[in-house]
Parts: sequence; structure tokens; C-alpha cells
Amino acid sequence: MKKTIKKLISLGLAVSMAAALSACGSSSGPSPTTSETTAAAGSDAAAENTGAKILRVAAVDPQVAYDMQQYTYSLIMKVTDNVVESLLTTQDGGKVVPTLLAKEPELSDDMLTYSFELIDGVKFHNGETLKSSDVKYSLERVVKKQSMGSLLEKVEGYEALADGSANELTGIKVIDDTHFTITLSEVYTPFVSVLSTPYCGIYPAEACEAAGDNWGKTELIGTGPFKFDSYTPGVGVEISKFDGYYGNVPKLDGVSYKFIEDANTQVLEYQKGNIDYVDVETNMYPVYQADPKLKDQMHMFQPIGGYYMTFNVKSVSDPKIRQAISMSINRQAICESIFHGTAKPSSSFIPAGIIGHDDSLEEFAYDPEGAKALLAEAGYANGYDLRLTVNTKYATSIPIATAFQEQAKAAGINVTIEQVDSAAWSDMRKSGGVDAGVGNWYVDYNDPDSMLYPVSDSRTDRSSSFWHNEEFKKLMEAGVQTSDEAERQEIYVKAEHILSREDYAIAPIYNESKCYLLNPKITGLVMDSTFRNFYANADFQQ
Amino acid sequence: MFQYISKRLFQTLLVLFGISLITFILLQVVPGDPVELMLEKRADAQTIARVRHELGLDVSLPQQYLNFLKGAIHLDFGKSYFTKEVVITALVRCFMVTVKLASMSFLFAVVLGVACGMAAAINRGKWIDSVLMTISIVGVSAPSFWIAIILQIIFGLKLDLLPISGFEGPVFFILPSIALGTRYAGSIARITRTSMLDVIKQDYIRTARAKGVKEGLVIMKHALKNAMIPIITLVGTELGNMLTGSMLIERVFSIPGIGKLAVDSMSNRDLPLLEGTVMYIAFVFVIVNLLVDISYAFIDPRIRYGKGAN
Repeated sequence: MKKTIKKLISLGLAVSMAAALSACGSSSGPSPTTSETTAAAGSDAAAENTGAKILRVAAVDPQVAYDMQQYTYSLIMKVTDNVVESLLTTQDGGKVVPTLLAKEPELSDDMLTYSFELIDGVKFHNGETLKSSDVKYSLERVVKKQSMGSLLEKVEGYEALADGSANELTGIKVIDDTHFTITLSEVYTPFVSVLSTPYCGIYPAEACEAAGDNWGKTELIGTGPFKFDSYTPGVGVEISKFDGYYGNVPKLDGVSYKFIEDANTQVLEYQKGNIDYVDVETNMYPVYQADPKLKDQMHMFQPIGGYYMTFNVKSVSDPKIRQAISMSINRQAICESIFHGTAKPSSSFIPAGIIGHDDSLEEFAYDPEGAKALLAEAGYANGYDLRLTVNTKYATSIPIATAFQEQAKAAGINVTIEQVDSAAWSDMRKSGGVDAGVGNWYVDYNDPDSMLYPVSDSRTDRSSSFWHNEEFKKLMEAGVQTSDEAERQEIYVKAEHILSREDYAIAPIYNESKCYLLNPKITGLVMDSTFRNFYANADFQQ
Repeated sequence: MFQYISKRLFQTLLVLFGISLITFILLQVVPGDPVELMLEKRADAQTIARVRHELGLDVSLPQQYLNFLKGAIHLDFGKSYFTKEVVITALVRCFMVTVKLASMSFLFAVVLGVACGMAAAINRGKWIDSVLMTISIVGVSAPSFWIAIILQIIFGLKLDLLPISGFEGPVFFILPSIALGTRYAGSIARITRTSMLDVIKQDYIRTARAKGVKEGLVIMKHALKNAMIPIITLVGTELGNMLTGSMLIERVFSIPGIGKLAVDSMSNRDLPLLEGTVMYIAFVFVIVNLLVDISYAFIDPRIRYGKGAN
């Protein structure tokens, strides 16, 4: 018996060893595609050997479908922005221009109904022609997929579709294949900006419906300049030039997104010549800036949004205390020591680049003595204890909190830092468990209404803020009822004042710039201030 | 022996049941709602309630656990909340990657560790012993991610001999295997040396030498074989560690293995994926330990299991 068992185990071991060795010897992963071969070969060699112009981008596997209507990560937009198009696009500076539309939408006299005309004959990557019914299907899908559905909450019929009692958005009426109207339940002047977001991208109804859960994984079809070829979990995404594009056909033959989890490894691959584009973490900025070779290949863009300190007005109830806390933040020191000059101290919550930003505002001053006096007035002459919660998902939140902890001592504020992961952070915010926190927000569309969304009256009870201000609420309502820019500017300047300089519901900290390294041979690559990446005009210089 | 193995396999089922229950309870205690995370940005309370219903998270906790158990019996852990990938498919996909990394690191660690340990033991007190043991201390102490970065810079970037990241072929696994295996090689070397020194002092080794048996044979056949029990115990645990993935190494080298899957599922509170991953990890450790126990009987005939065991 013993010998039999011995033989069986020996056989088992031999088979396991053989399996392990064969596993090492033969990759079960996909065979390299042209672009993968290119990626391994180095940029110059790639173009010369295959003649193909493939842009190689370092990316992180989002592990979810490439479907912006369901998942809102900027990781996904890197791909989908080049495959799927929305009806309109917001250009840098905030101008909204038609993309799939023959002309700008027309607005009825009551400012409730928008009339649209699609460009005739626009083709999806599967050869089908774009129709009004595809637009209706796609926008209804945004609501059904829930994640970003509230973007369309002003469209007539939203409530019924959102709660499942109806199956369509009654506000969208298809007139014919190229004409349709969208009626809102109340005036909302930034509506065309909403339609320009990637979340309102247009999919072919039949193909999307047929793909089911595979949409964004094995299949993703749009009208964009590149078509989606493959997504291999853990490996990357391949997209290639769409020859039937209705606009200017891209100069690149394709884009190869290579999944590399670690930020340092991404840069090493870039240095080796295997990658053409890589995002750079701010903490590495001085290191790469000191490298004579990389220095000139580093570029920056400034996203519209920023970091700020949030307050739970139930636990930090006196505005004087919140003002004192705001005065205890040395924003300049944080920008210099943590961000090495790539960030600017905020002077307002609504950042530069959108309506409502007040250029005349001075930076928030660091004034620990003034803060101390305010705390004394509020009854805390002997010091104030503050629990500051940070979400570890955003790595920079931790050094910001640590710096503030030290800075606040001068004002007599004793800060206890509580680090939690994303899941716990969401839970605590929902249950009102965050007294003060370090948060960030970036606009979904280029409008102050999007910037102020997290502090809007309907959201603050869900973000552990509980701040409500009637005047602010009325201003936010008025801000979306008018299209007059000067009037809107005035409204949002007032709202900003109430938010960050009167009630101190939040304390803006800084607005950062994002850095990336780009192969100097590449031109025409666009990174915009809402984190969108457009490669349609990118090219390799000879 | 069969009786022993059957008993151990039955115990395995109990262990897996216990672990699944503990994991389930812990996930209810730890703050963090997966639905809140999934719909973090703009969803309202009604939408969140609807998604909770769709995922079956609105039924009572015992019912949720029973639903999980019913599926788990058929190896059906459901679909990931986030990726919508079938859990067992995700586990197999990541296991296929992890097993390659684990095999190569294991071979590297065992071959290097045992060889160095033996060489140090044979040359006890000499300079070779000191050098090897110093290196092994460095191997044990140096963080694997640091070794990984150093290897990437030297062999990947500066010398351009090996790929910096990826997992497309065997050559891609060389640097990660060394980075992952170094620590294990260090501890195997140290335990091999200690164990060999114990055995070398024994009378039967002196007898073998007195009988004129060649020194190589004395070391390989008599000393090493008798020194194997502690080495096998350590190696078994380490194999378990390797097969359950290394989050840091996988991250640095962009290898989508079990370690990354486990960390991602935890940070997303992705219950089906996390339960599946924990079950896999528990299963690997229980089976590896069982194999280690069985191997004792073959290495040391004095050890017996089942009927007649002492």
C-alpha cells in the first residue's frame, strides 16, 4: 500500500511539475497583436518596422466595462473619448460645439424644448447609420444605468424612468431619423453642456442591446475616430483608426493602452521607449524635472476642480469655528512643500475657467492668531479638538492632513487624523460620521452648476455636510434659469461668497496641475481640463 | 493513510465553512457599502435602494449567507458586483498567472535556498558560511518591492536585458520571480543550515563517514534527507504564500494575479469576489499543509498516519 501511495504521489508531483513548467513555457495570454509587437519594440523601431503609427499609452486596468454610462473613472475616458462621441463637445474655455449635430440646437421661446438635427449619414463602427432613435436609446440608457442618470433629471419623464414606472424618457421625441426634440420639465440653461459629457455618448441601439453585459468589454461601438478592437483584462486595450469616420480620419493607425499598475513602472517603461504617454504623480515632479532628458518631455494641464476641506455643520456648527479652521490652513506652504509648485492656493471653490469664478478674490490668508481670536469668540479659548477624516484612495489627502495638523497647532486646534479606505469613507459620509474631511471635486461639464453639485441642497445630507442655506439654494436655482452670462456670473459670485466666505461651509485648499510625459515625436494630443483625452489629431513627427 | 487523508479532507470542508462565515460576518462589520461605492458620484437614495435589491443585498443577513452557501457548494460564487465577471472565471484567470509566477519563484527559492544552506552548513565557521548567511539576512530583510525596483532599473532599464513589466512569456517572469523568491530563498537557506548542522552532529553521520561512504553521499543521502522535515514545513508554507499571490510584486510588475484580485475585491467590498478569493486562499493553504503532512511519512519512515500511528 505504501508503495502504491508513494507512486501515486510521485506521479502527482511529476504531473504538477510538468504543468508548472509548461505553464511557464507557454503563455496562455493572447498572442501579440501588431500593436503589442509594436509596444515591445520601442517607438522608433515600431514605426519603421511595421509602418504603423501606434500611440502607446500607459494605463491602469479599470477592471470594469468601458462604458461611461455605467462607470465614471477617468481611466475609462482615456479610451472611450476616442471611440464614442456625444452630440456636442465642450472645448477648452467652455464653448460647446456640435459634434454629431448639423447645427447648434435650437431652443424654444419658453426655454424648455431643444430641437436637434443630426448630421446626415454618420456611420457607427459597425456600419449602421446614426439615427435619432439611437440618441433616444442612449440617453434613456444613461438613466437606466443609474450611475450618472441624475445628469438628465431635468428631462421630462426622468422620474418615471428612474423609478422604473416607465420605460422611456417622454421628453425625448423622435421626429425622423435625423430630427428629434428634448423637452425639459424646468428651465436648465447648462443642458447642452450636460449633453457634451462623455456620459451622454451615443451608442447604436440594436448592437448595444444585443451585447448586454459584454458592452464595453468585448464590444464597444460608437461614431468616434477610432474603433474598439479588444480589451484584455490585465493586458490592455487596442483601438484602431476608423476609416469610415465622418470627420477628418485620424493620422494615427491606432492606440495601444498598456496596463501598468505601478506609477514608477510606467515611467521606467517610458524611459525604455516602450510607452509614448504616461501620467506622472505630482510627488515625482521634482525628480523628473531634475532629469535633463525628461524635463522637456513633461507637460501639464489644469483640471477644473480642486481639493477642499469639508465640514459637518452639525458637529462643527459655529461658522466662526469653520472660519478659524480655514484661517489655520497654510495653503501656500502645502502647495510648495507637497506639490512642489504644481498647485496653486485656492481663492474660491469655483475655480478659474468657468462662469462664477471671481478673479478679484484674494487668497485665503494663513492667520493662526486671527483663528485663535475667532475660536475664543466661539467659546474655545483653550483650544479646539477636530477629527479630520481622509480617504486613503486619494494619496495626497494624507500629507495635506498631516501638514494641516501641524499648521493648526499655532491656532490652538488639535487635529486627530482618521484614515479610512474608500468604502468606509462613503459609508461614513452617508451616515454623517465625518466631522471634517479632505475632499476633491472636478466638474462633469464646464459649468458652475456642476462644480457646486456636491454642496447643492439635495446633496449635503448625503455627504456628511448637512449645510443648508436658503439664499444659496435660491441662487443655485436662479443660476440655471438664465442664459445671460453676465447675470450668471453675478449669481455665482454671490453663491461663492456665501459658501466659502460667509458660512464657511467648506474651505477650499488648492487647485492642482496634472503632469504627464509625452514622447517628443508626438504632436496634436489633447488633454482637456475635464480630464478628457482626444487623440484624433495626434501624429508622429518624422 | 487513506483514512487519514479522508479525515483531513473532511476537516478542510469544515475549515472552509468556518472561514466563509467569518469573512461574511467581518464584511458586515467593516464599514463600507458596495452599492454606495458603485454609484458614488451622483446616485440618489432611491437608486441605491433599487441596486441593493438587484444584488440581493436587501434580504436578511442569514438569508444572504445561505444564498452564498448554496452557490458555493456548486462552486458558483456569483458575479463580481463591479466587473460583472463570473467569480470562478476571474479566479481561474488570475490563478493561471499566479501559478506561473509561483512556480518560478518557488524553484528559484528552493534551489538557491537549499544549496546556499547546505554550502553554509558544510563550511560552518568559514568565510563562505559568513558570506552566505549575510546575504541570506539581506534577502530576508530587504522588502520585495525594493528588490523589484532595483532589478527593474538594473536589468530592465540600464542593461536592457529583461522586460520591466508584463507577463506575456517566460522571460517576463524572471525579474518578478527573483524579487518574490529572494526573501523565501533567504529563509530557506537559514533553516537548511540550522537543520543540517543538527543532523551532521548525529552519530549515524559519523558512522557513515567511518564506513568510508563518500562525503557527497553522506551529505546528500544521509544528512540532507534527515534534515528535510523543517525545510519541507517551511517550504510548504511558502508555497502556500506564493500561490495566493503577492500584491506588491504583482503591482510593480503589472501581473494580474490572485494578490491583486484579493486586494481589489476587499477595497471595493465586492462580496462575491472576496468570498471566492478567500475560499481559494484557504483551500490552497489547507491542501498545501495536507501535502506537507503526507510528505513527512515518506521522508521519515518513523512518522505514520492512520491505524497504528503513535
